[in-house]
Amino acid sequence: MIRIENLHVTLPSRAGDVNILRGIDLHVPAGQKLGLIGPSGSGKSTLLMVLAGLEPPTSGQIEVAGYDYTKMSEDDLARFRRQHIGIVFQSFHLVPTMTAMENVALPLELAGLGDGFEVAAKLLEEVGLGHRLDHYPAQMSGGEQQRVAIARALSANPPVLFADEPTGNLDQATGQAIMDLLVKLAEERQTTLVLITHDPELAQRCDVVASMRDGKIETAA
Amino acid sequence: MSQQNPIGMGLALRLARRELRGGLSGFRIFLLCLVLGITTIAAVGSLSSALVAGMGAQGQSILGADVDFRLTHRQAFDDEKTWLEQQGEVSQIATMRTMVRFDKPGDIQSVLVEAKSVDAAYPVYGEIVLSTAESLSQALRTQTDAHGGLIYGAVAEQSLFDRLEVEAGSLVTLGQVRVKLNAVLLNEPDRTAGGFPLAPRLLLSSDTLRAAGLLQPGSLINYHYRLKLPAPAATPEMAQIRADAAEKFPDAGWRIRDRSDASPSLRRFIERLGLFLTLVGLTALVVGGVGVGNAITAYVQKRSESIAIMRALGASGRFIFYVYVLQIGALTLFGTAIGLTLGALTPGAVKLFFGALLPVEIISQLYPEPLFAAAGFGILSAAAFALWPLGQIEKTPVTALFRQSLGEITQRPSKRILIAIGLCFVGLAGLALLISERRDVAIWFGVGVGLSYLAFSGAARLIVWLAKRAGRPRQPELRMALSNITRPNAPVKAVMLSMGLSVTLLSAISMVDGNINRQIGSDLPERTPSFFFLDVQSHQIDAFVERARANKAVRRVETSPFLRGQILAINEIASADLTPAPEAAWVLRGDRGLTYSAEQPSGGELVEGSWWASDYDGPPLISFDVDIAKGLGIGIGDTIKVNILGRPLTGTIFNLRKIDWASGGMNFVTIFSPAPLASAPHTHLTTITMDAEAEAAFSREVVLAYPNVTVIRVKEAIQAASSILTNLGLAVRAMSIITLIAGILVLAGAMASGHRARVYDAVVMKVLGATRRRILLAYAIEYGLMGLGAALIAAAAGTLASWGLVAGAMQADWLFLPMTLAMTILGAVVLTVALGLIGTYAALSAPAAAVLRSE
Repeated sequence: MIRIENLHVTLPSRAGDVNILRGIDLHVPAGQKLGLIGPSGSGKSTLLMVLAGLEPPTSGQIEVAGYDYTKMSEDDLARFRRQHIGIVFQSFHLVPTMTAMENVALPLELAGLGDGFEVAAKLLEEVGLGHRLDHYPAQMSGGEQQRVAIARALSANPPVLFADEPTGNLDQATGQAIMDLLVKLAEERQTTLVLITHDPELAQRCDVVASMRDGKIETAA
Repeated sequence: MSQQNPIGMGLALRLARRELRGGLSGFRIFLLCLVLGITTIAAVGSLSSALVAGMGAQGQSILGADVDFRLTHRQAFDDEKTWLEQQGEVSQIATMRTMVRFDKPGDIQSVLVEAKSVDAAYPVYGEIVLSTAESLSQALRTQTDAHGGLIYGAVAEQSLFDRLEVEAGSLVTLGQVRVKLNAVLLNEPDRTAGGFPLAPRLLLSSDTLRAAGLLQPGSLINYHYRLKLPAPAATPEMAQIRADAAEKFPDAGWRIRDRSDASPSLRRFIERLGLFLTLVGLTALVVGGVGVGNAITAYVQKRSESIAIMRALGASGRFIFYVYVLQIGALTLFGTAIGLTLGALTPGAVKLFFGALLPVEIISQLYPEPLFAAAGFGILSAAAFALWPLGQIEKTPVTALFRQSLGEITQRPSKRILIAIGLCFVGLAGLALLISERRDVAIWFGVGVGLSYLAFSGAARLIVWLAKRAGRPRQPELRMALSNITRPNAPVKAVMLSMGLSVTLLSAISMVDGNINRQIGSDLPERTPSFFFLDVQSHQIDAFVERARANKAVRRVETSPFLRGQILAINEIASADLTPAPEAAWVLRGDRGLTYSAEQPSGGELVEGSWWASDYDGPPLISFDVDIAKGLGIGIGDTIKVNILGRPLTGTIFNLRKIDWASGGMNFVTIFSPAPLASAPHTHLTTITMDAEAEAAFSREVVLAYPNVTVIRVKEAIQAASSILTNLGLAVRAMSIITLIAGILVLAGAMASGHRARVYDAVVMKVLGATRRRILLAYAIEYGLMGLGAALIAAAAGTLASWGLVAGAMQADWLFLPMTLAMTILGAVVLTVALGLIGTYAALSAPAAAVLRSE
């Protein structure tokens, strides 16, 4: 499902170019759950941005669901994302001017996939927010916002789900509940999951755990 | 801690300075809006003052004298002449409109000219410049041809040579004589004194005019007696001469001007145009004020966390209010200084680059009055719009500030601040009234801007309300557009006010311009005559009318006795002591055409009183225009004393008529009963309506048969007037563009303040798979909806304003011009969408990963 070969990402900074990813090789088969751990600055989030097509690689090969990113334009990547990829961020990144239901329906509408609102309502019900359909992000707690983000990421039924520190902004109990929900939904839908986290305990809930340091994958377990 | 003691204010000043150290980046739009408005007002005022000052300094050469006495129809009587000669050196000139003819083989070319006969003393001041090396007296001398026939000399402006298609040295016919156009008149120092020229100047000697046979009784001739005072006369001495003349010859009916106000009509024109353009500049300042308010709101919101911290540390709301008032005050003074500097430099710059194009040489110096006015307008408008967001700081609780650091501060300012805002607007209105000669224009302007402002603020709320209730459209682009409209800090109000107010002005100007063009353009009303014939003598009139009626192309002939007279007094109060309404004042200025009639004329409707008996032979009665009578505060039974042919004639108002001025036909404010004017020497004014294709031939026929008759072809007169109006229209449009620029600046400012939120939205949308085209489409819908809302209301307000101007102020038929309005609306929507997309395009280009990391 995901294949990366010799991936490099170099970003400019005031002090000169910074090599953030230095030759990553990675293979994640369809349906697998990969936990990616590592300290801050190890390059985890950048790797996720590259995997989601939001950050172009400086060099190397990247193929997700059979699509070679290096041959795709920005708009091609946007179209690809809406059909194949769901993303859950640490900061939720909901559209502040849209209600929970509108946020969840948005990917379906963008993909032109039928009645987004019916699916959105069902999904929100599934994540325990059936009573919050018409609430705006600012009217919800962090845990609730992250549930909306998970529902949104899964609404178009993508084969691949990326989660970047999904519990990083939540207290332990809420984080635990969110993680349970994420894993449960991914398993139910046979979704390939790449989970980025600081927490080795959370990563252990995945099928495979890889560790990153200084822009490289050190170990894969 | 007391924030009102010196330590408190000192600290406030220190903190204000510290805050401003961060630079002016958040205040660019604030400063641009302020500088644009103040520069415009200061520049227009300084330029208008510089032109008027220039006219004053060159008064002698513009007027051609220290004091000018003008008489219509008649020359000065002997006792008047003697008195004039006692005052100083006198030069006599005469001016009249007449026809010049050039006979080509098989064709006759005739052109209306403004003829001016001069004596040997002319010009008393200034210098005549000709295209040849001859002196003026040489060029105007009379010569004899090979057969002993007399050839009179003349010089003319280049435009006469162009219209007749002749070169210098050609022979033309003037009345009964042959005239040789010896040279081109390159400079006539006193040309502007007579108002706007509608025909080329023909300069000739007094003998030539007399020989041409044009000095017929009752002919429309102005005689000027130009007085050169022995020693350099000061204004009080000239005023004394005027007073002496009025006292010694109270019924002379002459119009006296002195060099301190050489061309009142030009001065009035400059001052009125100046006022109009100042009001347009004030609109730019009001539109800019929206930008000022937005900039400060954005600044305060950006600073809400620091404000909250200061409040948490013990600073009072009022203290913080002072900290920010000091900052905004300093910036306002900075912007005002820039605006005033640019405005003050304008006369110098105009003189340098366009000096040659101006009718008078402008005097570039510092004119404090317009600069004070501009500074007043600038500071008051900045305060009026800045105090609301600043006042909100004072009232907002600390907890709300912490919570709302990214949101909206919604508290109302205190009563004290609201009163201060009200006083600023009252100050603005008062200042506008103070500088306006036409108070009514300033009042209507103020009412118009105020109502438009309220209408657009209300419309902004309505659009948000409608967007909230529009349900949940299925198309994500439309939904995103609607959500953007309803989000906190959405630019709806800024767009509505900035685009709305500037488009209102633009649509009003377009509609007025369109109406004027339509009315003076090709499709004149059916009843508008083809020709006006002036100076038809009483012994010629019957034959003239008969000839016209015999022509098959002629559809209608109207004729009326024509005299000119000056209103000397109303109810025995001298005209100079009356205070007429502005729209009626013109009737008291100088000579006006009048007539007598036994029967009620066909044009105009009798609204009060009755017509006199057709055989009425008693003391003079007057039929007067009802609107002018209202403006002068008079009615039936009041008396009007008019100077006609040098003699005073007092009549009693017997009835009032409503005149349709837009008919284009013969209309007279004053109509006398026949006696005793019917027996006085006078001419006839005749209008002829005929088929257009036969006009040229008929004009030639009249010029040949009646050399003394002046032919005014309505189409040509309208063309001459319309070229002046076109230039004026350009000036006004250029000024309205300034308002539009202010609107664009405000819009740019509003977009800049919401930029971060838009970048974030665009990135999230991209993450979820939206292409750039779809995101752009959502923004286009959002701005399209706001632009359409603003444009529709602006179109309605502009239409209303144009109706008021055309039907009310100009008393002309108002036409609704859907195409003009549609183009304005379309332009406004396209402009709003284009600006919106330009402003949000950057949001689309933002790198997603960087934005997501930073949030």
